Amino acid sequence: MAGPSVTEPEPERADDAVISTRGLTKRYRGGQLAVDGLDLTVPAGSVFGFLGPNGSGKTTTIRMLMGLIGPTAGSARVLGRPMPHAARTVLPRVGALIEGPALYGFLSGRDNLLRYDEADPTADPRTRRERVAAALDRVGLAAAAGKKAKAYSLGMKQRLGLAAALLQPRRLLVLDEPTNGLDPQGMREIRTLVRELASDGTTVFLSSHLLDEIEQVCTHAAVMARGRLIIQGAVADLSAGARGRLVVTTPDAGEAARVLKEQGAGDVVIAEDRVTAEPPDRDPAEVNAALVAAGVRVRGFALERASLEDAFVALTGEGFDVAG
Amino acid sequence: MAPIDSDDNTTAGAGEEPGGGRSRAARYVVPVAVMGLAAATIGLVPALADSGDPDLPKVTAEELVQKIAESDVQQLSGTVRISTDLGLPDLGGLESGMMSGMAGGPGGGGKDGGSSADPSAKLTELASGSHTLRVAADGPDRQKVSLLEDAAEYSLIHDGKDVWGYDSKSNEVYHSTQEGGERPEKDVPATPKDFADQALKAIDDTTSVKVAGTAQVAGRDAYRLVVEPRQKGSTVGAVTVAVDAETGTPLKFTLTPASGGAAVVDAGFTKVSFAKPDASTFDFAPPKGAKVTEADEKAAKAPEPGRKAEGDLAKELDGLKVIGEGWNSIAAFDTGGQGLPTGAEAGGDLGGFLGSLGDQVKGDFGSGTVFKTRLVNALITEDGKVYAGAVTKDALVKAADAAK
Amino acid sequence: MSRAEPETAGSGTPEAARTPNPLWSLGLLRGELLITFRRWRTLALLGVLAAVPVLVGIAVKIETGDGPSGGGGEGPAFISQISNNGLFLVFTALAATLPFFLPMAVGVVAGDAIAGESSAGTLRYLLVAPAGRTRLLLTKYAAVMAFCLAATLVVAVSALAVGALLFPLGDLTTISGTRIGYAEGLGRALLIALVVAASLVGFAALGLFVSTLTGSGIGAMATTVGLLITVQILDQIPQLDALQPYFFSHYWLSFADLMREPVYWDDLVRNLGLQALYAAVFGSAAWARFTAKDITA
Repeated sequence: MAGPSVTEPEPERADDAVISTRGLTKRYRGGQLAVDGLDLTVPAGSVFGFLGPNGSGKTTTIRMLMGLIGPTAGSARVLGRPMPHAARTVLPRVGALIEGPALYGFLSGRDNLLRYDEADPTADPRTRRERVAAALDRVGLAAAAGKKAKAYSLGMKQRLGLAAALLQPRRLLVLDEPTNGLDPQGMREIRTLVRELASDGTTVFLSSHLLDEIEQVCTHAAVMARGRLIIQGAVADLSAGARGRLVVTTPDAGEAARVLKEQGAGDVVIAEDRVTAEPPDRDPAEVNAALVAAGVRVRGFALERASLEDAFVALTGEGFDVAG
Repeated sequence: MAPIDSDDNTTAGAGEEPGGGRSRAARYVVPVAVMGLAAATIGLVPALADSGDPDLPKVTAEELVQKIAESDVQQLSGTVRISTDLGLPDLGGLESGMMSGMAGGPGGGGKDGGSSADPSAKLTELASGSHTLRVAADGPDRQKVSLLEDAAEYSLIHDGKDVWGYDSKSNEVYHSTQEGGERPEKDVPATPKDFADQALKAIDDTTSVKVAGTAQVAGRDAYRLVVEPRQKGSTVGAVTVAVDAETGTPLKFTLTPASGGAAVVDAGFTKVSFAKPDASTFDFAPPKGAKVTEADEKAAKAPEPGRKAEGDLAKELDGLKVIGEGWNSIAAFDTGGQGLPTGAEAGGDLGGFLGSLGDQVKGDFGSGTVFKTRLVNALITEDGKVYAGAVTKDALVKAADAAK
Repeated sequence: MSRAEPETAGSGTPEAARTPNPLWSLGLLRGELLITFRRWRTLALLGVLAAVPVLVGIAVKIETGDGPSGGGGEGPAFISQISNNGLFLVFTALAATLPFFLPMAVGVVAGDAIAGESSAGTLRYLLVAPAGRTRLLLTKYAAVMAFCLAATLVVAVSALAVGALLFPLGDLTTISGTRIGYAEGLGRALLIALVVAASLVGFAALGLFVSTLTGSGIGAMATTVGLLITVQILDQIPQLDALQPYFFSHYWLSFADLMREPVYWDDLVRNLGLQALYAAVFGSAAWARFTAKDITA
C-alpha cells in the first residue's frame, strides 16, 4: 500500500482497541472502490478523529463498522467482536449518529427517542421514559421534547439524533459529522459534550471534514483520501510530523525570497507582503540576520507551528475539499 | 487477549447481517425452496392421494348396466364438478339449444318448453366452462340442486309439491307447484347419473358397452363403464361412466370426442355422501323483499330482454324433428326462411363470430354453412334449415341431402 | 447470540448489568403499530375505506326509496339484498372494496414498510439500535397484517352501522336460500371479515418484498399497487386460465362461500392456502433480500 501508513496490519488485536479493521474493503456493485484495504485501530478511551474530504470513504467505513454494509473483503472488529456478525451483542453498547439525524417528522422529539429505544431489544421498557428524558436533557432539548420533529431546526434535529445515541450508557460513540448544521454556540456545546463523555471513559469516534474540530477535541486521528487510509495516530504526533513554516512579512518580498533561497529554505512562496518557506536547517536567528544584512525591511518574522491541515496537505498534496 | 475467535474469519454470512456475494445468493435458496416445495406438493399430493385403481370383483358390462338400473339410491348429497369444453368459448344461447337438442333428442321431447325459463337459462351456463354444483336428494319428493356462482348461487329446490328456484344474485324467486311424479331436477342434467341415464338410453345395437377396469371417484371405489358408438359418423368417441361399486350410482361421466383430446363433458362428484341430508336443506321460504314469480305468470310474461335470443331459440326448438337414430341422430328444424343468424338474433357479437367460423359446404340440398364444435356440428342452409347433431360434417350434408 | 460474552475492555461498564427480557422485543411491535396508525396517511386510507359503505348504503337507499324490490342482479355481490337486510351491506361493502380499495390500502402500507424507513433514513438508526433485520422485518409484517385486519374491520363496522341506520335488520337468507338468525348472521359477518383480512396476507407479503427492493417509499408503493392492478387484469384474461389459480387475488371473492348453507369450503381453503404460500415465498424472499442488503440510505 502506498502512502506513509503508520500502522502495519496487526496480527493480534490489542485489548484496548475498541475498533480494529484489517484489510477492510468495500467495492460497490458498480465496481466503484469506496474503501480500499483499511487497517484502522481506535484505542479505548480515545477521542478519535476520522478525517477526510467528502467522498473519501468515511461514511462507508462507518456503515461497515455498524453492520449496515457488508464488506467486500477484510474484517472489522468493534468492541473486540466481529462485525457485522456480532451486531446484536455489540450495537447495544454503541451509540451512533450516522450521516445526520433521521427522524419521524410526525412524531414528537420524545416519541422519536421512544421509538429508537424500543428498537433495542436490550433496553428495559421500565426505565425507558426516564432514560429518554435524561437524554433529552443532556442535549438541551427538554423544553422542546413535545414538539413535532418536523418543526425542529436542523440544529435541534442534530441534537435529537445525538440524544438517540445517548439513550443508554455506551462504550463507544460513533458520531458522523456531529456539528453539521449547528451554529458556533451549538458546536461548542457538542464539543463540550464530547469531552464530557470521553472523560466518563466512553470512546468517541468522530468523523469530520473540519480540521479544527478534530484538532480541538481529538486525542487521535486518522486521515482518509480516496478510500485509503493515509495516516493514523495521536494528534500530537501527526502535527509534529509536518514541519512548520517560516513566515516573513516585508515590503521587499522579492528580495526576501532571494535571500531565503540563499539561506537554504525550500518551497518559497510569495503572497504580496508575505513570504513563506520551509525553514532551512539552521538557526532562524541567522536567517533573520541574513535578511536584515541584505537590506530587507522585516516587519514580521515567525515560525508557524504545523497544523493538522499542513500535515494533511503534506501527505496528500491537495486541498481538503476536493472530493476523492 | 484470548485466542482469536473462530468467528474472526466470518466477515460475512452466518449472522443476519449483510455479507459477501456467495452468502447473499445463498439466502434466496429459502424462497426458492419454499416455491419448489409448494410446486412439489401441488404436483405430488394428488398423485399420492390417488392410491391406485381399487381392486374390485370382476363384473360384466351387462351386470354393471343392470346394477345402475337397479340402483335405488334415495338419499345422497355431494358436490359435482362439471367441465364442458366444446372447443368454442361461451356460445351462450345457441349452444344450449344444441345441447338440449342433443340431450333431449334421443330421449324424447323438450318437456320443459317455455314454462321453466329460469332453470333452462341456468342450464345454458352449464354448457360451457367449469361449474360446481351441489346436489342433495332425499327420496323422490325432496331434491335440491344448487349452481355455485361467484358470490351467488342458483338453487332449485323440490320439496313435496313445491318447486322453488332461487337466484341469490338478483334475489328473485321462481315458484311452481308440481302435480304427479314430474321431477323438476331432470330439467337440469346435473348429476353424473342424469348424464349416464341419457347415455344408457342410447344403448342398443348401435353401441358397444364394456367394463374397463376400476377407478376412485370422490373417495369411493368405482367400476368404469365405457360406452362407444359402433356407427361411423358420430363425433362421440366414447362415454365413460364411473359406477359406484357399492350402490351402483354413477359417480362420474366423461364424454370424449372421436377427434381425441380433452373430454367434451366431464361431470363427476368431487364429494359424495349417501347419508340422509339435513332436512333443513330442503326448507325454503322466499326471503323478505324477494321478487317471487309464479310459474303461470312467468309463462305468460314475455322473456326478459337479455334472454330474448335464448327464448327465441327455445321456441324454435319446439318445432324440431329428429332424423336418424342412436348416436347419429340429427335434429332438424326450420328457422323460417332466414339464413345465418344475424348478430342481433343470436345475441350480441355471437353472430359475427359464428360467420367467421363456418365452413361453406355444397350438396344436393343447395349450399350452406357448417359450424363445428368438438362435439356438435350444425349445418345452416341458405334457405334457413338447420341440421344439428353430434355427427360429422359429412353426416350432416348427407342428412340435408336426404331431407331434400 | 447470548449476553454471556465476557467484558474485555476495562472501562466502566454499567451496561454489563443489562439482561434483556425476551418480552422486551414486543416493544418494537408496539411502537411499529403506533407509528403505523398515527400516520396521517394511514388514517386517510382508513377514512376512505370507511366512506365506501356509507356511499353504497346511501346509493342503495336512494335507488330503492320507492319500495324494496329485487335488483337486476347487477353490481357488487349481495347488493340486491341490502334493502331487505342491512347486514348485507357488510358483505356488499367487503365485496366492493376487496378487489381494489382494500388491497390498495394494504399495498401502500406494505410497500412503505421498509422502503419508507429507508428513504427517511430512520432505517439505519433502527438497525444500529439494533432492531435486528429479521426481527424488524417480522415486526413490519406483523404490523402490516394488523393493518389488513384493521382496514377490513373498518369497512365491516362502518357497513354494519350504516346498514343498521338505513335498512331493516333481522333474520337473513343465505345465498343457498336457507334462513339463519341475525346473531348467526353477525357471526358469519365477523368470520367473513377475518377471511377477507386473511385474503390480503399474501399480497401484503408481496408488498413487503417489493419494499425491500428499493430505497424509495413512493416507488415501492406504486410498484405494489401496480402489481395489484396488473394481476387483477390478468385474472380477467381467459387465455391465462391455467395460471390464474396461482394469482393471489384469484380466490378473493370466495369469502362469499361462507354465506352458503352448508358452507362451501373448497375455495376458501384454496384461498387461505394460496395466501399462506405467497406469505411464505415472498416473506422469505423479503428476508433473503433484506438481511443481505447494504443499507446506504
